[in-house]
Amino acid sequence: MRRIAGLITGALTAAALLVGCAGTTTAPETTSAAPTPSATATTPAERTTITIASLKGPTTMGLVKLMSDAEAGKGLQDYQATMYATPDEVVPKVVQGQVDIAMVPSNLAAVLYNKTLTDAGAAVQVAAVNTLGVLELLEAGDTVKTWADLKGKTIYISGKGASPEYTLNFLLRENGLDPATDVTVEYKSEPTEVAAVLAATPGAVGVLPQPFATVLTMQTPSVRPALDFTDEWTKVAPDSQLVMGVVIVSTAFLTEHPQAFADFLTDYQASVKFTNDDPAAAGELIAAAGIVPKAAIAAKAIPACNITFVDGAEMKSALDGYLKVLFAADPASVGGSLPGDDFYVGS
Amino acid sequence: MIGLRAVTKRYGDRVVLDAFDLALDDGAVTALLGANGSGKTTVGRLLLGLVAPDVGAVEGVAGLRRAAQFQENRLCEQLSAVGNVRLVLGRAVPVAEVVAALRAVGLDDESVAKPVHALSGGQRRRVALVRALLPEAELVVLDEPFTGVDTAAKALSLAWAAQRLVGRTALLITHDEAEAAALGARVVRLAGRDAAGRPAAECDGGSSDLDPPV
Amino acid sequence: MTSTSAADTAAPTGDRWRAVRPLLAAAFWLAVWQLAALALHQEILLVSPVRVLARLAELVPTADFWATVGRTTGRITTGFVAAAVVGVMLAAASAGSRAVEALVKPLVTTIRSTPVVSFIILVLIWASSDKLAAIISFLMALPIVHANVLAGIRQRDPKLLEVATVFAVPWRRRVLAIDVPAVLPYFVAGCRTGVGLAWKSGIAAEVIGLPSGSIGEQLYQAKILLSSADLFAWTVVIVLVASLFERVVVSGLSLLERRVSAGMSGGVDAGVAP
Repeated sequence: MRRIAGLITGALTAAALLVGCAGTTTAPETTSAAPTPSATATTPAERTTITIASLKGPTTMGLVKLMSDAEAGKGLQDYQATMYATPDEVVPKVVQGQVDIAMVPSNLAAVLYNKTLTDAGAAVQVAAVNTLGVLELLEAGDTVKTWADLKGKTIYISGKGASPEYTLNFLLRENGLDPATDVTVEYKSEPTEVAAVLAATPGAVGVLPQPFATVLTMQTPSVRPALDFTDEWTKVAPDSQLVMGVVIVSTAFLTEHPQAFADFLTDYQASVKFTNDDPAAAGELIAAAGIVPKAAIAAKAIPACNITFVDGAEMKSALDGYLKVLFAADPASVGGSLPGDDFYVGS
Repeated sequence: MIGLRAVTKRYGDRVVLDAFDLALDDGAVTALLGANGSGKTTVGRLLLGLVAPDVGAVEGVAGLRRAAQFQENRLCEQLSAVGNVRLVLGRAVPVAEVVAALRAVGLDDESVAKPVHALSGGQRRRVALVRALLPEAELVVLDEPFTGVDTAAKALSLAWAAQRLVGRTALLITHDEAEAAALGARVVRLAGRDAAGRPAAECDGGSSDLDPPV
Repeated sequence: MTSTSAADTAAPTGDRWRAVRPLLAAAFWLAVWQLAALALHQEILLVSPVRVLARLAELVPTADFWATVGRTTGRITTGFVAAAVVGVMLAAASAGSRAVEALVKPLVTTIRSTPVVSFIILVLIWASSDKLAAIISFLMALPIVHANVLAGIRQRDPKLLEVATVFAVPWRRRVLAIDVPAVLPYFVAGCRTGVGLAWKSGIAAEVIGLPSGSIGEQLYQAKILLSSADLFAWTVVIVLVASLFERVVVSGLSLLERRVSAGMSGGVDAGVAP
């Protein structure tokens, strides 16, 4: 009996160790032969395939130029970008090391950092802020003018466990409403579902990110924007910024391909600039990617989307400030503790 | 007149009763004797309205209050003896009267209150008997009422039954001529099959004549 | 009862080991789990049982925890009780009328064969998320109760029913004395299965619909915030509450049955000397 127990334990432990070893290394998807650890570029012709996961929304809107260039082979590196509808599709992929770079809601970046932290250090790091405030509260009607008007209403929103939820709760509390008792919050899986409810139900109230808010107000005249979260945030927390989305990178990838990553950042920054400077052309690409139905609407929505590229010290202060606000309200929202300095690339 | 007129009853190809006539004595017990399989129980079921004849008619039973003791006990196992009897009586009859009747057929106080699945075969048979005879019914059918009841208890039960049957129209199905006699019944015999395979019936006059069973 | 293994040489009777064996088995698997978690050393992949217990210890004393458990339990109970009541009614109606049975049967079969998720998505379109768990539990448990009770009704002893017919027993007394005891074991079996199904489907519905302050919401939160400890802790809570619930239902029904028989046997003790 004891022998058998010992054998089984031994076998299971061995299996567990094997799985453990496989789990701690991210699957390298490089085509290059030798990894280059030093920062100085050795062979300029080295091309790496970089897998990118982005979300259907402003993050991909800033990425479309990079994606279309990649298809034509014109990027500095080879990019394989995939767009996902919800953050909870992206998070497991990051955990399992299936993507090199991901665009995720800011609080989930902190959660990922905390949950994948090993003795060897951080497994994911944040490289840039790519989306500032994009949330708007909309109403299929004309009665909501202030926060107090929301009392007793049902608010539809998507993004449970992500920045939208915590931002909404924070703003409600700061404006004297208890999210649990004064309003009813209904969580949908995607922004498009919220838009559908607002379009179909007179009097409905919902929170939508851009560009969905603009798309909806242009298609459905009965829906109007009631409150802009970016403005409201500044009113109650003037020392911090609303940071909705960030770019994270797997540390393993960063260490093995620093040049490739630097190239990506160059291309990405240019892509963001393209979207902001030439909305008409970007609108075409965005419509082609299926984020927004029509190019013209996309072009109109771009300015409201607050697509940006902030890295370095400025990124750290903006993001850290936002995460502190979230942490104070609910530590679980950032994964239990505020990330340390090793969370930020280039600090 | 309560009875069967020219009734034929078949079960599949087996003819159990063929142009059978039976008239029950009004306000008295009629005993039906016969070998196993001669159709006695079928007669009882016809009278109770549980089956319909294929040919002929059951007469005089419309709207009558009926009571029966079946060949099997057919008790509600989880109820006590009192509970089983009260099931068919309702609340009109006080519990004390039910208990008294059960005592009269030889059940002691302990047996009266236990669920019937804990009673012996003979005790259960007697409960079924009380259930059949305590209600004020206008037609009673008793099918082999004392099977498995020991001699002493049978004597008590017979005495009690006789008293309950006074003035009631009843059919007693039995093998036992002594029972029939004890209850003052007129005996009708259901013969076994004749050479042609059909059952025949004979009517005896007077309960004091006890011919040997055919 | 003889000892069968060499390990039992110290214990004089097989009985002593029988009580301890399940505990030993549980302890063994817990140890395996702990070792595996330690070996993996990545809480995100496999959290240790110690951590789960610690998390439970953190959760249980909070008022929020009990409010959440209360809310979800209330919703699933409502759904299940409704399924039990409607199931019995539909079964009784089906047993009594061919027409009713012909109408009800395709309905119940469809509900039983449709995947839970389809219902969840449909119901979310029609109703708000806080009614979701109750409706889904109801839909999942109903066909089970219906089928079982119908089988029970059809299995009633025709001989006893004949007794009721001959003596013209009023239907209320007949139901209590004959129908209820005959159908009860089937009903209890249906409830047993139905309760488990109600809980599983109700929680799944909550994870998709995310009604506020529900156990399903906590599970979703554990998923998105990558908290394995929370996931396991809440799962333990669900298993415990569901089995407790099942036990309450079954013993409640047994008590009811005993009450009914005692009532029908009719206050015997009052008239009879012990």
